[in-house]
Amino acid sequence: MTSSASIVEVSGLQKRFGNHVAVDDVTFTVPEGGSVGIVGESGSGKTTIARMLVGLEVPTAGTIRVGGRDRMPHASVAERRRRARELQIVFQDPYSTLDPRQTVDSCLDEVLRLHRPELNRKGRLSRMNDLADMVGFDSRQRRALPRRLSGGQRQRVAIARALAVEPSAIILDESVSALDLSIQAQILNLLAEIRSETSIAYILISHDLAVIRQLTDTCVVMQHGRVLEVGETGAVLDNPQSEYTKLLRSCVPGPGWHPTRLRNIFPGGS
Amino acid sequence: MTALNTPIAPARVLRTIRPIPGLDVVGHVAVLLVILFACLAAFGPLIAPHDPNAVNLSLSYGGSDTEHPIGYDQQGRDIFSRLLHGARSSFLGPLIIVAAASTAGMTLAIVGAWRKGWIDATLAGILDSSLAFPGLLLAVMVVAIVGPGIQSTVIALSIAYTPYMARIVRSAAITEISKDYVAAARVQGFSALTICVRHVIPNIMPIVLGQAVLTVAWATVDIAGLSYLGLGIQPPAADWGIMLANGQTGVLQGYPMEAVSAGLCLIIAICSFSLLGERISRRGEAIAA
Ligand SMILES: Nc1ncnc2c1ncn2[C@@H]1O[C@H](COP(=O)(O)OP(=O)(O)O)[C@@H](O)[C@H]1O
Ligand SMILES: [Mg+2]
Repeated sequence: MTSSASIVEVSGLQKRFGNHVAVDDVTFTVPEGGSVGIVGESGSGKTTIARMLVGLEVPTAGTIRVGGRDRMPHASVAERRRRARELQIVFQDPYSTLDPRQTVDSCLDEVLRLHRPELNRKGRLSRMNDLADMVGFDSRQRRALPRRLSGGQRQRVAIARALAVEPSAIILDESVSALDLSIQAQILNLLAEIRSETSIAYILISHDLAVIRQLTDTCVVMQHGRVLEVGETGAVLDNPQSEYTKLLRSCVPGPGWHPTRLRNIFPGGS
Repeated sequence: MTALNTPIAPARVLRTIRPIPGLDVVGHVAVLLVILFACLAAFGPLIAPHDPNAVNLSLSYGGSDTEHPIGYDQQGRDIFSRLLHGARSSFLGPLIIVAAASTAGMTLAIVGAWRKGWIDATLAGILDSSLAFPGLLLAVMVVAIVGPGIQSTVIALSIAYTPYMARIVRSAAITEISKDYVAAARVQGFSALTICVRHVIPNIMPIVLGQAVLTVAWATVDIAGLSYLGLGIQPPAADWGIMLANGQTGVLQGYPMEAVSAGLCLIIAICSFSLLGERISRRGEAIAA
């Protein structure tokens, strides 16, 4: 079995909202320290998968195993705290991802108090210094409230907050999509750096193939809640098996992209 | 002695008073008046020059003099002293009502917004149907059963204002709880209570506070109205509502000072609290948006 080497194993996952099936029969695994991308157009069920993984939504069917244990709904407080150290998440919207009344430092401090109760004030401070260094914050920014920070800076705080827990894996749900391209690049480099320094695994959700290409080893292509293709990222993107992946690929500027391709896919359009 | 010899002190205090950013002139006036009324409620009875209940029928409707600036009422009691005493009884009831209704309303609203599903639906149903039932009517019914008095009216109005409070807090709480930072805190393993107390409540506090100040105005009207009708605070207590009722006979006989002064106090107080409450609410909504 692969279970000893996998941090996340998802099997037959399904989620219905009323009659609407948002996620259907989704199966994939994330190896320890690996990086898996989930691509698909808006509404294909990516966020719903992420929310089920971290326990914010209850699956209608299927199993989620993290760290070799099944994730059952309605966990105790102690169990939720343990799960927090397995899997963390960074959301898409930089403007609601932080408590507007909390400075960067107090946000990190709160997490350390919960997850590192053995640390005293000095221990927490030194850990906060490490985290702030990692995401590139100076002491003035660390005392700032979120409204004084740019979108990119807020996402860095969210990343630092997730890292403070020292999780085995981190989900990034369109975490750079709302940012300017140059800021996106900075954060992607930061994520690549963090991964090379720690043994953390990534589940990277994006509709942007360039992002997926840069940061993932394996990728899962989704459409209408179902998995269309799974495979090694380079292979899937360079040699797509499904028409849908070809379409996704031609819609984003990237290696091999040319505007004339759109004409082949949308015949009749100008 | 040294304290008296430092004339700089009051100037220093005055210099620390700065306009509140983002608040208009009317808002500033309202803030000052609310502070004034709060001081009156706290210290009014202590600084009143005369016994508010000392009857002297020979001074009935007596005019003003240096020691009795507003004159005497029908029973020859000092109107100014009665107004000062009345400040406390006129605000104490509304204050208790607002504290009780805010606490209860906020708790119900946040529990509903957090748990969602049938709990929220049930709560929302109960709150909506109770909104259709006038609070004043509830108070009158309670008085009819329990008998008149300030306790029963305060309890009845506390219950009646809870749904108003809950409804406004609920929509703010739903917005706040749906934000990603709350989801992040849940994923981090913080308990619901911790997240609500440390994050949700402080962020919706401006809206709660604005509504609470508005409710002080409404509850003051209610209590004064009930006292005016003889259902709330009971005579001979000095209370602005009672003074307004007593003063009516004076108005007819050409001595309007008691009714006019008590009425003015009520109107100014109610307007100050409403204007301030509205401004705080608006600012809370602007921050939340
Ligand atoms: N809480 C919800 N209630 C009802 N429908 C939902 C809810 N969350 C998501 N959906 C629906 O599920 C589908 C998948 O959404 P989502 O997972 O957000 O997609 P993606 O992240 O890929 O854009 C969409 O059609 C969306 O409308
Ligand atoms: Mg999404």
